Amino acid sequence: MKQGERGMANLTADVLFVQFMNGLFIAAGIYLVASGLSLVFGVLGILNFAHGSFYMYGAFFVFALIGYKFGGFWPALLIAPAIVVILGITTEILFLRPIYKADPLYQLLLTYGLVLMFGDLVKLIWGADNQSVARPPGLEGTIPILGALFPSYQMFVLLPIGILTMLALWLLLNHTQIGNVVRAATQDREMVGALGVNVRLLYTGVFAVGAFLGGLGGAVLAPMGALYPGMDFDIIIEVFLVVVLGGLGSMAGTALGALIYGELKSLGILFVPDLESLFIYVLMVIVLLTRPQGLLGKRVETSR
Amino acid sequence: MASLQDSIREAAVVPRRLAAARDPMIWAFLAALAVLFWLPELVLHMGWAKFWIQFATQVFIWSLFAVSFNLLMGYAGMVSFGQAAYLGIGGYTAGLLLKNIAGLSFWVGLVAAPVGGALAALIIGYFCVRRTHIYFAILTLAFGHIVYLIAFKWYSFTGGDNGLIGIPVPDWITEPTFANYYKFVLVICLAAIYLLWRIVNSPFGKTLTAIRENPERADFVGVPVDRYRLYAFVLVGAFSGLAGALIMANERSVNPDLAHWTQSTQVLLMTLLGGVYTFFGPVVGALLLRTMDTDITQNYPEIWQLFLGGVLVLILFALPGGVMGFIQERDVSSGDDQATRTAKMLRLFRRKSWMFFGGALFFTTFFGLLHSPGAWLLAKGREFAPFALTSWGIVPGALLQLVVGAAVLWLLLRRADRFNRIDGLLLLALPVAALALHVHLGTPLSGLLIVLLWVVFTLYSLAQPEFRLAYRLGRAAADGG
Repeated sequence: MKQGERGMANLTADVLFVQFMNGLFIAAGIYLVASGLSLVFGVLGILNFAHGSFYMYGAFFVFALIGYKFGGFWPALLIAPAIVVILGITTEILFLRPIYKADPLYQLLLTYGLVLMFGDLVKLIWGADNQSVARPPGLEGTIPILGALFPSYQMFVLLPIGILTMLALWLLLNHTQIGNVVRAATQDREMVGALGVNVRLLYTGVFAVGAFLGGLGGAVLAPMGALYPGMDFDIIIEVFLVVVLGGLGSMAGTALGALIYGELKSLGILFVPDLESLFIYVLMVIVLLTRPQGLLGKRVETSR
Repeated sequence: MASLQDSIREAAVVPRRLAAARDPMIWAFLAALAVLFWLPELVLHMGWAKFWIQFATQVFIWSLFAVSFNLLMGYAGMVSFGQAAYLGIGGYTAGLLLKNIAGLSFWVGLVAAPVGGALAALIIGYFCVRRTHIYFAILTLAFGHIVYLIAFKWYSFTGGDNGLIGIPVPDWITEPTFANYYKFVLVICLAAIYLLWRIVNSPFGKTLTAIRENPERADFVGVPVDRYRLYAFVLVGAFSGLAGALIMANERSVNPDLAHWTQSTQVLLMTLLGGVYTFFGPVVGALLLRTMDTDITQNYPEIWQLFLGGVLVLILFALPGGVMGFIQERDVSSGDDQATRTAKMLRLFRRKSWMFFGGALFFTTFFGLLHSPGAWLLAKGREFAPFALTSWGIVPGALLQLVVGAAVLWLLLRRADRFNRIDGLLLLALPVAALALHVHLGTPLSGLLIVLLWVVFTLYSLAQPEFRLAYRLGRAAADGG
């Protein structure tokens, strides 16, 4: 074999590997945010538009906490989602509790109103300019793996947190008593209430976990891009795509949807740069036409 | 065997058989046209700012957009979150044609816009109408975002985030007072809204409502549900495209912001605010929202979305039927006799009057504050004089309204069940007086609009058959039935 051809082949394999890993990074990031939305939808039946706002607040709280010299990035990574949880619980009690029995579209509209309010509050507090968060010390550079260079932050923070979250959610939902109740609630909310579970508390708890995941996603992704008012809306559309693709309310579907989303996005760049974001739409259209309930979703007549 | 479709046809035969000239609504539209046509002359004659001519133009374009959107949301029950896409496509279709083909007639661009909007709606709708409710909302949102992204990123074709600038339009549009363009928009929008009125009252419109109420049943009786949904979606896409072209010509430029999701939010809010299940609600909503936009962004542009969100949450909690729905809402059950119905209406009238009073107080105060920030105790730039109300600040003014207004309203409402004609007239006179007072005080337009709606509400209530009868017969009607 000639030298040149082998170089070509190696290059292609290398590039594919690099893009595959990049796809994993994207998938881990979007999964963190999307899992919270999917969980909340599965239990509460509310498609929470304001989930993108939780993501945005997670990122901006990290920015603010670092600005206050509050021990740097790592404490901020823990504290920011905690503050978002408080925000989420307040939202749930004030706005969502009164409308659980309303038409799902009204619930969607209500959370849409919350998005508008949360968005302007960010502008009022932090201004309309782009902000940025520096990567934590020691993780600014890249690390070589199998001959390719990868950003260490994505490799050592984003990906592990994404995988750990997935494992933790799986364990929590499938191997604990609380998980049993939550899974039962996704099947039949009224029956769970009739069996003596405090449904109010359950809803608030699940919403808090959802908000935590959204805030965590924002906090983890904060050092990887610009922070700006409007990032909430940009992510919520992609999160909706991922969740609809995988099947609304299905946690495994969300993980699969995130993986497909990330890989399509990063491998798509190789073939059709600039239009890579269209791939996911095309795929979503195909899925919806052939399998309307999403890849791993259960067929529910009322969800039509 | 009478199927649902037959009965729908049956019900719609009456308006179909009537010629347009015999539809009473056409006279209302012609009257509106005759009156509103002279608005620019009034503005110029009174020496008001020319801005108001452009403002009215915008209100009409948005009314058209919102009324057509309501065909989808209110009549067909399809809540789209990405309707601005068709506004943008209409604007870009007309703009690109006019800019790239030299010497092309403006009219061709204007006709191409709804065609472009309909084509886009046909393609996108083909996928969207298969799902309903939340899924439909997400899909329209996602596709709307694609349209925005294409407009934003495809520099060589759409000009990217700069948009298309300097689109050639005829000289009569660019005439400095914008009076010509206002009249042009007025005629087109009234014609289009009338067309929509005919559509929602046609067999097609009734079928859409049947689908909204019970898709399975409509399906069983042979209505091709998805196809009807698609028709509605395409139709609304066409009207939205027309509105987009009108906006384009107004500004002589197109910007990706036209297709941005915030525009979809606005039309959704206009419809909800005005009243989803009423035909003219969206017009009221468009007027209210545009006015509030103008009043707020004048001094505080950064809180506009916050305000919109607050209004949306407030509507969902307190006014699910919007303003028009609130005015028209009645509490009637079929078994009620005349006296019960009158008593129920009176109770409702009292409650709503208080709500209007509170709303008017809040809005006039809130917008007064936005208008002249910091004028808490004394009006700015005026010598204080105890008897000149215009020199009072926001807080004393609001307190005066609250105390005097509430006292008068309480007295009048207490006497309302005596059904004296004088009391009825006084009930109407109160909001009229409040309106006159606020005009005198120079309250921002948004506050005035709420008071005006209060007047409309009182007039509407007093004109209801139950009240008319009770007032004609005096108190006996309420007692004896």
